[in-house]
Amino acid sequence: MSTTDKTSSSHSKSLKIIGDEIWKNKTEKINAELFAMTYGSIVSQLCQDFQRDYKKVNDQLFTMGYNIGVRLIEDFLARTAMPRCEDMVRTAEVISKCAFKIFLNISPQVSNWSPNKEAFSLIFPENPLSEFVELPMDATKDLWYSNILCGVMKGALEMVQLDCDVYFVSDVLRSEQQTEIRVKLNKVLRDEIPIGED
Amino acid sequence: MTIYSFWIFDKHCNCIFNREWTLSSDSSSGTTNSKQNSETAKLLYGLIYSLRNITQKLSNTESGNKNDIRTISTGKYRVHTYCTATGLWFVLLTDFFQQSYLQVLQHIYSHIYVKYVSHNLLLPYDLTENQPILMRGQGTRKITNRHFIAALESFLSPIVE
Amino acid sequence: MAIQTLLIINKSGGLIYHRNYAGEKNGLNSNDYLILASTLHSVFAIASQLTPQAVQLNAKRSSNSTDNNFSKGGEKIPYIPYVGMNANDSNNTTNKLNKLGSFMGDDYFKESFVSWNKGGLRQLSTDHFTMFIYQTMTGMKFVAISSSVLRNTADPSHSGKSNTTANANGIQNSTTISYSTAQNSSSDYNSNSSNLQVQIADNFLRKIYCIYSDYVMKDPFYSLEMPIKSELFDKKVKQMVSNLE
Repeated sequence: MSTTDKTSSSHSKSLKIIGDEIWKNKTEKINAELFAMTYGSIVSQLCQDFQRDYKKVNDQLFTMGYNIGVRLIEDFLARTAMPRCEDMVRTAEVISKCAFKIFLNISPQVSNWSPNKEAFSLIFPENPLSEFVELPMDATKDLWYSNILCGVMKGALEMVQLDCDVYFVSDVLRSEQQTEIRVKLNKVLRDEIPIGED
Repeated sequence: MTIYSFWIFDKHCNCIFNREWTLSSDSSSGTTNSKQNSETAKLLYGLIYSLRNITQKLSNTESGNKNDIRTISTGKYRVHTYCTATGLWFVLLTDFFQQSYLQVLQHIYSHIYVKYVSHNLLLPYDLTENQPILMRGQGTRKITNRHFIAALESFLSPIVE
Repeated sequence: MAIQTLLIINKSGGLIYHRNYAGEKNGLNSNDYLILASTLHSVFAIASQLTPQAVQLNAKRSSNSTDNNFSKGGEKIPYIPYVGMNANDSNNTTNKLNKLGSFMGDDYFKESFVSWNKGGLRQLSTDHFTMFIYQTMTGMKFVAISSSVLRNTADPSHSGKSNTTANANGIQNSTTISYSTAQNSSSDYNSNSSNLQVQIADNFLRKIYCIYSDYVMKDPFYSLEMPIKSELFDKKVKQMVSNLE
């Protein structure tokens, strides 16, 4: 039992190192304020266009994120050449330690595992998208400000043959305790796994 | 240096001989001309046939029709082929130790096949004669000549181990 | 190792990119290439089904032992420095902020990696060319046809083959050293050099994948799984191919 703990901790350590190293040396960076303001202007424009129907805004953000995710996965795979994850535990580690680190320089925590280890939550101690944001009164009930992140994850996971539901559970912008996104595996798309992998 | 299996295909798309070694260290293990391998034989024939077609299409037409495939590698095994002008294919499935088994295959053709099968006037030169041509790939007659099999075994056994 | 042709095949077997770099006309029109691509796609699948029983038994035996090796999945491809990169830049130490799209540094990646392609077709050697296939985890296949030919004769004194590997631009001396130590037995020499060729091809095709993830994926006007019509992508790939000669 102790040897498997050691190997799993050494695996996650090497993931952290991979993520750190790629973030530091291999990715171009942009100004964080520019990024946050660009995203903010997208959300506020969507709110205007949909006349404050926040459910539609959420869906639109999710779709935009999905389109980003199906393309971003190729960047992630080309950059890291990660082998296929054996199970959701490994997938969660890779997402939190490698993927978020490389693209947003944050490391969310993985927690709240379901009993069959097929669903988990990501807790975000900080969110670069919404650092300076305060939601208007009518939005606090319905709008998930960073819903684009859910779309990105869903799109990316679908391209590696994992059909998942990704959705917000809570958000500090809504005066809740923490920002939490839940990822739930529906099924592995076995038919679409490229031939040649076991 | 392991050989996994050896196959001979004739010009009618039939597998006329196959020998599989299932335990890599035991040269007497495995099957000869087993009926269970007929599906594998068809897949292997299809693989080589398609890749040969691709090769011939991709070759520069000026240099003539001389481009033939030598080896096909996957992540797990390597296929070596030797195609004769009479439409016979000698196929060897091995591991990655050696790049080319061409000399082995040529030896099998010139010294074992020609000697024991072609020069044997009592064996049909074409195992599908008296069968309708429509049965391309359906023929099931195999080389069962004892001398041929014995010579093949004694030649390949030292390499299998 | 001179690349004659590059093909990119999408998940469903459709051809989305092909370029000839050798200038030879082999009379194939675009329709022929489409057929070629889909044939390759299906042959790729058949090859994985033909794994001999001995290999399958060995695999089962090794998976039963509790071996939690990180890279037990596939073959580990070593990083071969500067494959396809501009030789001038790698020697020019002042030009450290080389722009490789969104990849910083002087090379796209610097570590060894595990191949995603375990059972499928990887290499096809013929009398006149060698074809290498690199499959990604999302099902895309990058196919490179190179004019280098792996010799049949096991004679290490034939230096023709060593030229093909030494010309992979900027290859450090370390690889040629490991080369000469392998000349002890002729069959060792053969398998080492052919493995080296496959590894160079994998390194090269992974870089093409990096360029693809930049110039094709990040183009908002590109629809997924459709033919690639990006001039920037063409330019970068052409540069890499010419660096490899």
